[in-house]
Amino acid sequence: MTGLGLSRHRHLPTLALLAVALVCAWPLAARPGALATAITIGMFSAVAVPLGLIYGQGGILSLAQGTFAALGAYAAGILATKTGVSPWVSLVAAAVLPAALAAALARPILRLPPLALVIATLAFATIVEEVLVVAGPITGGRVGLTGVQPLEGIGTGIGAYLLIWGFVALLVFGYVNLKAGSHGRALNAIRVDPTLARSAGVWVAAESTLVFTLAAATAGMAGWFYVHYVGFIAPESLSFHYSSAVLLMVIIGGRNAVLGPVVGAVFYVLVQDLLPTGHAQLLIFGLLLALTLVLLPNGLASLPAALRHGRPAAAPEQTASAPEASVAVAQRQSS
Amino acid sequence: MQTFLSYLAAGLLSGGIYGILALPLSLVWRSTGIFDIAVGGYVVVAGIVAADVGQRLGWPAGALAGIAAACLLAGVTTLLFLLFQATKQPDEHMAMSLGTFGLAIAITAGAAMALGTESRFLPIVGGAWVLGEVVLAKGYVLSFLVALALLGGMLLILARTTLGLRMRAASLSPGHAELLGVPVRRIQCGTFLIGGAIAGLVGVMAASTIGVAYSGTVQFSIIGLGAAVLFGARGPGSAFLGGLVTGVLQSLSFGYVSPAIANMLPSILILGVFASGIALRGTQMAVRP
Repeated sequence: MTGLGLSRHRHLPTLALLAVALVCAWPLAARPGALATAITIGMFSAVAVPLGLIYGQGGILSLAQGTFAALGAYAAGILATKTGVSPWVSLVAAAVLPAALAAALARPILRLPPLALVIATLAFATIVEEVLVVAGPITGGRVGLTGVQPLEGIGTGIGAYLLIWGFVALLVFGYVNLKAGSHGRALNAIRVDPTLARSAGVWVAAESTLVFTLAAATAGMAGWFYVHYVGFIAPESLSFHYSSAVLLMVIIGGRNAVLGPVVGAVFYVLVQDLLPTGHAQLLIFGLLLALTLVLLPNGLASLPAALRHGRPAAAPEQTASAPEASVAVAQRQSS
Repeated sequence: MQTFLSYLAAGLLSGGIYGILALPLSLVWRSTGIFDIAVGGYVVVAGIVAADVGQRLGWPAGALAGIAAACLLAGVTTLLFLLFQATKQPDEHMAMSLGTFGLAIAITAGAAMALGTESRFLPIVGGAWVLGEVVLAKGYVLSFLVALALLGGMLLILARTTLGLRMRAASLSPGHAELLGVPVRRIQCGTFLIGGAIAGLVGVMAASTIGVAYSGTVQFSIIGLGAAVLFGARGPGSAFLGGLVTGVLQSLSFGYVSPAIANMLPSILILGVFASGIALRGTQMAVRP
């Protein structure tokens, strides 16, 4: 593993993330602007880390990750504004709704070749965006839902910061464990060669569905946090452009490194703050996405290794081969 | 019955534009294995430039300027393609398609910044023919005829000319074609540029019928993709047919179901086609068993 991935200690990324988050908490508490930026980075990371897992490890590239976050946010927002149930109850709905949709969607679309899969998830994202507008009486239509209260006892200050970064650390911990276990090896085998994986006893459909559904559920939970932190959700808030931004973070940060999506989220939010208007940001980020794919296919996380060797580190697919798949499958069988 | 015929006619006429919109996607896909998602951006920029220039210098100059702008953007995509080729990435099809997605975002934003956010319209032909209760807008009829002529010309070039033969050879087996002396890379670059020119023409058609705005990039790309894959992205003919069917279904949905469903229809078709896998059998996008 290169760059910010696993090198010596399995839980180094989780511990490093927790340490940085805790060390930064004290100075951030005194600076509301910087605290808000840190929370925004945390929210993006919470959606991007699961995408990094399913794309980097499983080769499943989804343009609907922001959509799943939106579904979670709407589930929580609707329950909060129309029924008044506890946010901790609506958290379950925020995870279950996107997970259920992802599970239903997974079986037919995860069999597709990667490019068709991207287009299918893009189509799904645009359908959901339209449905959210059409279902005006429930979702508030184009105006959206307002007046969602902050989480009791958490608020929108340092409590929210600790909650979101604790959640991100938990996601990274889960990512690391899943990657090191038999599910992670199965995912790697599926990414490299699904047929070989199946021939070795990997239940391809179940493994892919499981990880895709988990990623949707965690995105929904991030959406739950988002709506309680911002107090507002509209179709544009976590739209298709949000999914594009999350994809950009994963690619710029490094799709194959555990902390790559977090690095990408930091980069994205900080650059966003430096650029003037929304359109200028989109222009730069669109070009960055295209150029990163060409010049730095493993993202910023691979930069240290690339600088050491004087050339970009190979993309995962470059190193992936049938022998590698065999090794992944053999490891899975022996575990 | 008359109402049904009106919707059917409107669907067929707009389907002609969708069919032509699917052509560049289909051509580039067949030639390179890449979906040029930036095609919606070419359409939008071409339409806006055509309308702006057309207002000052007349619609023929506007149309030419629009097509030239689209070709210029397709040239940027071609450069990106060459960069991907130079870096020799094994998953270049996927990465390049994502790269065109990035370009689509950049083009949308760049168009809004440089050309403004207002919708544009380029009047070429006004008025309508009325057949019973069926109203045929002359602008749509003209666009449909241009679309048919373009499709015919494209099929003729592919079937009867050396260029077409080379394009088909480069598409069917790039390795073998290269060994036989076909300049595969040049053909692929040319396909991107031809696709850009066709998308530019679609932009002019769109500006003269429905109007264009910078925010339409994704919608145009989705409509084009939906039409291109509806019958398996097998070639220009199937792409055009996909556009016609999409147009008719959208128009009927608009009339008999709801405008919201009509808006979602291209995405629903994409998802339906991919999820069922029926139309993709025997193609590069066939699902795993």
